[in-house]
Amino acid sequence: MLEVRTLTKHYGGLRAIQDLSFEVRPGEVLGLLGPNGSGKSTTVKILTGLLRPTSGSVHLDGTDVLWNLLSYKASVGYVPEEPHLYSYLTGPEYLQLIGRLRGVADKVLNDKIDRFLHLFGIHDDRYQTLSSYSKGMRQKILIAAALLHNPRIVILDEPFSGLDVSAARVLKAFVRAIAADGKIVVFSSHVLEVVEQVCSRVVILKDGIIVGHDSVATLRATLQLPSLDAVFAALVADENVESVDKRSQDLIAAMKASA
Amino acid sequence: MFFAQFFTNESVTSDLQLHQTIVWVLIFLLVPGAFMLILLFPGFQSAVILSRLGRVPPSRVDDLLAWIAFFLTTYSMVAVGLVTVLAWDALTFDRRDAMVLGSLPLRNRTILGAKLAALATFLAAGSLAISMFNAVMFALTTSDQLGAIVFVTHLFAMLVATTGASVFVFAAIVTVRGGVMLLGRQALAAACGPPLQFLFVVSVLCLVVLSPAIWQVPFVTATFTNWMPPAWFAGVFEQLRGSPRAFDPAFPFMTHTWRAITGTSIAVVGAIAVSVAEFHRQMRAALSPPASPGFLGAAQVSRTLARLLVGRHTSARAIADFILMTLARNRALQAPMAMNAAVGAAIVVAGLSRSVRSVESLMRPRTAVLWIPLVMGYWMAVGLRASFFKPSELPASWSFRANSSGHVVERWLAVRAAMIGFLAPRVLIICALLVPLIGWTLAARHALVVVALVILLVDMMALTIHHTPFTRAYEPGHARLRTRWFLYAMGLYLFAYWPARLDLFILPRPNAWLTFLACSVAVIAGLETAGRRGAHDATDQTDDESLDADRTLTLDIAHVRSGST
Repeated sequence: MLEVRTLTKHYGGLRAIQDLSFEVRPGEVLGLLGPNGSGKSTTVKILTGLLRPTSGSVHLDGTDVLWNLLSYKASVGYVPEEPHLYSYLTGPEYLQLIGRLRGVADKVLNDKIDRFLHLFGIHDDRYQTLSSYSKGMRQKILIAAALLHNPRIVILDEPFSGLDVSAARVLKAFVRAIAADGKIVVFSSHVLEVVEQVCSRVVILKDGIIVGHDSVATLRATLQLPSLDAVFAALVADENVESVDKRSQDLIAAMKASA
Repeated sequence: MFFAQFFTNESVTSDLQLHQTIVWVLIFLLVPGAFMLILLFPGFQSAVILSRLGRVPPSRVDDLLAWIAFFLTTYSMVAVGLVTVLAWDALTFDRRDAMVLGSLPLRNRTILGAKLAALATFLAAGSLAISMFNAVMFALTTSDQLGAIVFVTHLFAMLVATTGASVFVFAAIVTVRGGVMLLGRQALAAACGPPLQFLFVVSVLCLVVLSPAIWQVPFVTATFTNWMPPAWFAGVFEQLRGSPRAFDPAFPFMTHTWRAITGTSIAVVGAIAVSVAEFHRQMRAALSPPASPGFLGAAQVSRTLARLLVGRHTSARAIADFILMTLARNRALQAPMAMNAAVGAAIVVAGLSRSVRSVESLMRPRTAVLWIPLVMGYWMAVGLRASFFKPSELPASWSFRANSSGHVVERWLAVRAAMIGFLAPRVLIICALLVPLIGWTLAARHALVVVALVILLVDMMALTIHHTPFTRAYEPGHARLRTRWFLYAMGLYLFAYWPARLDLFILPRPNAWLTFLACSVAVIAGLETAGRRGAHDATDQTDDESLDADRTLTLDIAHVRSGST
């Protein structure tokens, strides 16, 4: 089980997250929700071992992951929000790089790469460098790279960004399937419909603190709201419908004034 | 926007640094011209005095003037050529221009005009700075005994001749690049950049090094030089200065001038034509995917060698592959290597010009011959190390932090193996070039010594590299040739000159040669052990450091984002 205990992170004087506590069990998909600047990315980076918290800790099976960070990193597969890849490598070359860094044997690795490329429909583009890939193709490479070593924990930060409809459908089913296979899945996204379909529980962040933490169904029942979208709006949004409309009209006025 | 593209550079981190770089490039190109004129001044003055005294015929002064004009036009062409190939990628329209500008409500004529204006401004900025300085220096040097009118005439004639030469070479380079692009060889056009940069740096340095030795060679009677473009523009100079020989059919200056005008016109028209054609081609192609994957350097030999060196360490193999493939494909990283190799080539030429008097004297082992692979290996290694500090792959460096096992030993092994894999085949090729000069046996023995010394050098350099190449933010102060030249000069002596002297002694003595190799192997083993141990010791610290680095990086990004919103 992955446990987050009173996690706090400050960047100098700026508080990114404060006293976050939650847990994710094997077989669960935990959704991390929140508006821009709510602390989702910071939380994800701490969970992946890329950032060290100011205070608090992350525990895997009761052990602080910082005790053996390398071992913990070896069990994590991570899809970052931004698809920054080594632009001078081809897709298979990048996957080989990641696979070898992860210690996957060459024979197994090449077979896996071939299968991933076929499954994601980018096998025909295998001789092109990543600089010529579209955003969706890069996203597919990132997802493949995160799964190459069959990780125990999968952390997905906006994984549907740029994906075409069929790939997104496959990925949604895949996320549910790997959770059913006993993996720990953390899923950060802005797309509430997808979160509602995929996640068993959600953590809703606002200004670095948790404002909601439960299953989607329980949150809906507790707040007596029809959808996760409504729950999210109730917990996070500062503006009501009228003020949103007014802001929209102000934007149009500003656009016309500048034209 | 188009003009700014000429100065875009991944390693330049601020406008101030960019301006400093431009100033340094100009100083680098202006100094040799002034230096040459100072060297030529006494010879020219004595020729003028002797001519007035009737000791030498007046034509001697004309010969000298024509020769200096030939030299300065050559220098202008090479210097402007160097500036032009430094901006190789920005000389023609590319896909990115079409993607960005194609969607804007701009007429094609406007975009095209902007590109051509940027090219013209770039040419004017580069060529006028060099031509004006050299023309003023030339006029001052050659007219002090001949009066103000001669000063003005020489200044004007030289300015026109050198500027014309600059325009010719600039337009010719733009035409060549555009032509290759139009033939659909975008990857080939891109790959030509670093070799051309190497060629022009070597040419500039060789001109400076060799000119004192060859300035006595007459050019007006040589059949070969008459066909060289610099001679055409020397003809323009002779015409404009009103030389008594300018219209004499016994001299080729009329023909030269005609060739200069025709050649420049063709080059300029060609440059405009390929720019227009390339613009239309890119605008049509902007929304379609690339037709072919293009040429992908695979660095097979280097990678195989590196794999042999790292053995079973899969992470080290992955990192070595990454380094070598990125080097083979990223032209921004190839530029410093080309420049440094060019410095090495110029030093080799200087050594040969000073110590070798005839072709026959090359046919036996001597320091100026034996040190060729060592000098080239040394400067290539310096360039390679400099490229490692270019942050060309910084945005994707998370891949290593998130996926790597974090063992510094594997990274150290990979860097060392990649450097040896890159350098060893190249120095062996250079050693093979010595076979016709010193024979198979000595060349083979020398090659082993060179490889041993290259590995020694790499072992020492690898101890100074504490990051995965290309993935760390640029830290000012690395590999600064202009401020640390004495270190590089000392390294050249330690790595190339003295070993070549030693090699000269041990090559004919098998026992001494074997002893040297055995000692080298022992030192390499010692350095490798020290490197591994140092890397082991660094493992724990580096984990903390990398976390700090992450924190800093994230903070920076946070600032940028908050600033932009």
